[in-house]
Order: sequence, then C-alpha cells, then structure tokens
Amino acid sequence: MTGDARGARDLVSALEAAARADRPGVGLIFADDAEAARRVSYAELLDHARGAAAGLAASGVAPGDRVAVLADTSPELAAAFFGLLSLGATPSLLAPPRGFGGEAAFGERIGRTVRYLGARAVVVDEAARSAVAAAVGDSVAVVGLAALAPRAGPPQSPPAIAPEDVAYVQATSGSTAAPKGVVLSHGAIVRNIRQIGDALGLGEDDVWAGWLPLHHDMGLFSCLCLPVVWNIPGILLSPGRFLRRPASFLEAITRHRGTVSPAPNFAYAYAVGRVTDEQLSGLDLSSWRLALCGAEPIDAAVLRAFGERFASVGLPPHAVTPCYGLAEATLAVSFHDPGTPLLVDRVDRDALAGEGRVVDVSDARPGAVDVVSCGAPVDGAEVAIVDDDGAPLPEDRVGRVRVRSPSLMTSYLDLPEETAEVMREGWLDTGDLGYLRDGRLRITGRRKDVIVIRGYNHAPSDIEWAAESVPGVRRGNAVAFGIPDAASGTETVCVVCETDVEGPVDRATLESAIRERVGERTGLAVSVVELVGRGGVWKTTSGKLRRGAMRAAWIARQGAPR
Amino acid sequence: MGGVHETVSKLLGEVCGVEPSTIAADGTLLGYGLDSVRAVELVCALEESFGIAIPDAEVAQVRTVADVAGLVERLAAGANESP
Repeated sequence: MTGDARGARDLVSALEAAARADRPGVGLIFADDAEAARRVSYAELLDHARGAAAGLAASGVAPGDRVAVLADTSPELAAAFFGLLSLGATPSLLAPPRGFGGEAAFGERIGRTVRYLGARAVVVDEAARSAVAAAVGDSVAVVGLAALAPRAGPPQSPPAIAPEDVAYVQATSGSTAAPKGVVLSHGAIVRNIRQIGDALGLGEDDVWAGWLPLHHDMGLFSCLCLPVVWNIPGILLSPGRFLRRPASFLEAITRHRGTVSPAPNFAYAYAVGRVTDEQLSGLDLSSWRLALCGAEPIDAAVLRAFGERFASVGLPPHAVTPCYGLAEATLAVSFHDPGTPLLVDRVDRDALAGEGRVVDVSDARPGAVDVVSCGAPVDGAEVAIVDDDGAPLPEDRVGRVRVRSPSLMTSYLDLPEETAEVMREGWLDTGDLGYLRDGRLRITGRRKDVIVIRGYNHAPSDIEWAAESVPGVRRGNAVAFGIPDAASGTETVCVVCETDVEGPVDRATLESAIRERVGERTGLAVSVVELVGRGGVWKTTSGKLRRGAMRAAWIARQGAPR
Repeated sequence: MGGVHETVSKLLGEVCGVEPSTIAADGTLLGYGLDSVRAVELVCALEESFGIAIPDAEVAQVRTVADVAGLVERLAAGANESP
C-alpha cells in the first residue's frame, strides 16, 4: 500500500489524499536541470493548486467552464491543472507553439480548437503568450501561468466532485477543420490509472519517470496524474529536453532510480540512434523495470535494438513492455505481461492483409511480418474482435478491435454523430484492426484514416486540403496517408495528387510547392509527394477518397511491413 | 560570417535528407520537411557548429533558410560581443 490515494474517486481527492499522507521525499521532481531539479511534494502541489484556483477564480473562471492550457512541463503547469480541477472547471491541455515557423502554422489551429472547446479562458506560459493571444482574439481571457503559481492558496471549500463529473477534454486527431475532443470523467481517469498500476504491479517503491508532453494523454495521465493517484514519486522532463539530448532522460532515471516510464515506439529508436557511447558509460538503468511502449505501431526490431543497446548499463532483460490504448479509453487498454520476453508472431503478410488470417511462418520465409503482442486487457476491460457486421471473430482472425472498460470516454465533445459511430452498447470501436491470441491483443492495422506520427494522430483531410490549394493540383484529388518508416520508428506523410502538369521541371516545382504548403498549414513534413494523372487518386462510387486502399497499395509496392 | 548560408544548408540537408545544393535561401524550412522534432535536431546542430545558444522563443518566428542564417549571424555577433 502506498497511502490512501488509490481509493480516491476523483483526481482532486487523490491529490488531497497524497498530500495528507505526505510520504517523505515523495512528490513530483521536475528534472530538466539535473543539478537544480525542482521538487514539489504533494502537500505543496495541493497548496499551489489551491492558490492557482483562487487566481483563476479571480480571472473569472467558474465551475463548469472549459479552459485551454498551453504551456511547457513545469510545476506551475501541474498546479494550474489541479487548480482548474479543484475549481470544478474542465481543463484541456493543448500543444504550445514550437519549432521553426511554429507561430505561423499555429494560429489557425489553436483558434479553431479554442472555439470548438468553447473555452472561457486560456492559460499560457510566457513562451506561448503572444502567439496564443493573437490566435484567440479578445473574446477569451488569456491568463499568465506565472501569475497563478507557485503560491499558497487560502483554504476554500471546493465544489463536491462526483465520479461521473467531467474532468477533462482531451483534444485529439489534430484536425484543423474538425477538432475532436474526448470528454473524460473523473471516474474514468482514476479507474484507468488504477487499472494501469494493477497491471504493472506498482508498489510504494516504484518511481514513475517521463518526458512526454502533458498535452498528450500518455503524458498527462501516466506521467502527471498516475504518480499522484498511486502516491509515488514522479520524475518529469520536458519533451524538448528529451529531444535535444535523450541521454538526459536516462541520466534522470539513473539518478532518481526510475522504475517505470512510457513512450511511443519512435522514442526508443530515437534514443538508440542518439545516445553516444560516452554518455552510456555514466548510466545505471538497473532500476528501470518497465519501459512501456505504446501510442503508435510497435516495431519488434526497434524494441530489441533498445534492449540490446542498454543491457550493458543494467537495463533489465525484459524491461521493454508493449501496450495498447487510445484517448477514447482515457489511456491504457492492455499491457504485455511485465517482466516477460516480448511475444512476437511471425506471420504471413499476404494472408494477414488479404484474408485477415493469421498464418505462422518459419523465420526463413520471405513475405513474413512480425506482429508484437500488446498483452491482455487490464482488469475490468474487455477486448473483442468483430467483423464488419459486428459479429465476434475467433482467435487468430483479424477484425475490428472493440473495447469495453470503465475507463471509456463519456462522449466526443458536442459531436453526437461521431460519438454514436464509435460507441455502441457500452463498446468502443477503436478504429484499429487486430487479432487475439491466447487472449492477448495484436494490432495489425487500422480502419480509421488517421496518420500516427510519434504517438500523435493527424487527420489526413488537413493535409489534403493544403495540398489541393496549390495551383496545378486538381481540386478534390489529393489524398494523404501515413507510411511506416523503419529508420525513425514512426509514420511519415505520403501525399498523392492528381495533376495535368507535365515536364520534369514543372513537376519538381509543383512537388516542392506541395511540401511547402502542407508544412506551413499543418506543421507536418511530407516525405513523399507522388504526382499522378487523372484517375490516379482512387475514390468510391460516391466520390469518397479511398485512403486505406491507396495506403495499402503504396506499402505493398514498397514491400514494407504493414 | 561568409558561408553561413552554406553551413545552414548543409545542416538542414543532413537533418531533412535533402541535397544541400538544392536548398534556396528563400525556401521555407517546413517545405524542406523540417517538422518540430527535426527542428530540435537542427537547433542542436546549429548551436554546436556556430557555438551559440538559440532561445526557443526566437525559433518560433523563423520561417525561411535566410531567416535561420540571419538569426545565426545575429546570435553569433552577440556572443562575440559579450565578455
């Protein structure tokens, strides 16, 4: 037992319980600066959250209001998040502008998302302030994070929170034209965090460590909320710190004896490629019992390379732990059995893709594809594989992945049709395709037209809209999809456009114009532009783009897996 | 600071997998495939090559290859002035 926080039915009571228990040395450690890490005990975090709540209330935020938050990982952001919850308001953390030209690509996206959320106020750090203020206009209050925390707040009586009250809206899909928010209750979040900890066998000696952005569900719920609910230390680095120097994160694990850490597949490839031998020599990863891998397709080769690279500095043999989840289920649905070797099925690609059958093949055979097991559903969750008519399929047959769990979303925000499309009779249609073997889930592809880049979902429609706005591209005849890139461990963007433009020079000019326009409008890099003649972009008889079919055909032509 | 454009092009080309000689001063970084993660790589490479520190706030307003060269020249000049 790690204190009483796990018995809590909402995030605010969880923080209060952790603060009351006040375990010595237990709290959040913001470790971007290794020598001057900022430590915040849960008692202090509660104080700062109450202070932030008072400041937010003074800025006009009332219970029930939705509030967007754009800031880098910091103690002030943590305080504002819990402050909003304790006020009975509903926060939504959004990606702050960053990267070259970040502000140019940012304005329209953030403006639309804030309008969709119906946000009463936007909380920003100084780095985000000017871009956000310009994007949201005068109708929304812009509140500076620095003005809110850290400071102790006066005792107040916060509104009573019921487990089914809305806690959070997770912005997802990244589409500019049609933002989509996942509405999560306090109960769903706390239940999922309990499911995760139970599946991983968390105990009072565990130390969570993460660098994931807190506007991503994996960052927010696992790296910020989970340590509070389980009343264990949480080591936080900013994503920028990890990207600049991945060794910093491994050094933080070494220094603080981190035991569990989550990341998407790409991060494991990124670390293998960028941690130098010299950096390796100072590491001791023997405490790191669980390196969780989820949020995007998992490449067995990447995970094996990671395990091999860091075994010499003590990474336990079976630390790498694949998992599966999605924002609509708060976060996690299944985990590979902790501490056991990876389960990888080597199966026939054509049988898998063409007939949805799982046929094991020998190592030597060409046309084989490796599929990594994401493990059994967490306690209280169920996974079913069904055909297009919703009829259950037996094990080893590929179908739609459905999930039932006490962690499911309430709905998409203000989108009843979209909600009804995916939620039926208590089951969530994940949009992913996969199969079960020994009750353990394998993901083999997806039905939904999203592009998953480094754990983020992107809507192809934004990319297509940008591409077809380039003169020379036939309007309505651009299609975008994600293609796997083994080297970077994530997907990259492929755009196929119909054009009547001829001649190599003009076509090369058109290609670069498409890359540039897509980059400017979406912030995404296009790795492949393919120019085709009329009819080269496939559509259904009713004129809908056949993205999935084009993606499958493109990948088949390259001979790449999946 | 002769050759800043060449060095920036070389580093950008390495990060994005683009032939440096095809990189134009007025080309946008996003057009060459510089997304947010590659941007971090480019910043690190620039800092190392030129011995400068590039603040995040500066990065958000930079659009083109020429903008990067200008930023590098400005920061390098500032670094030389300080004791």
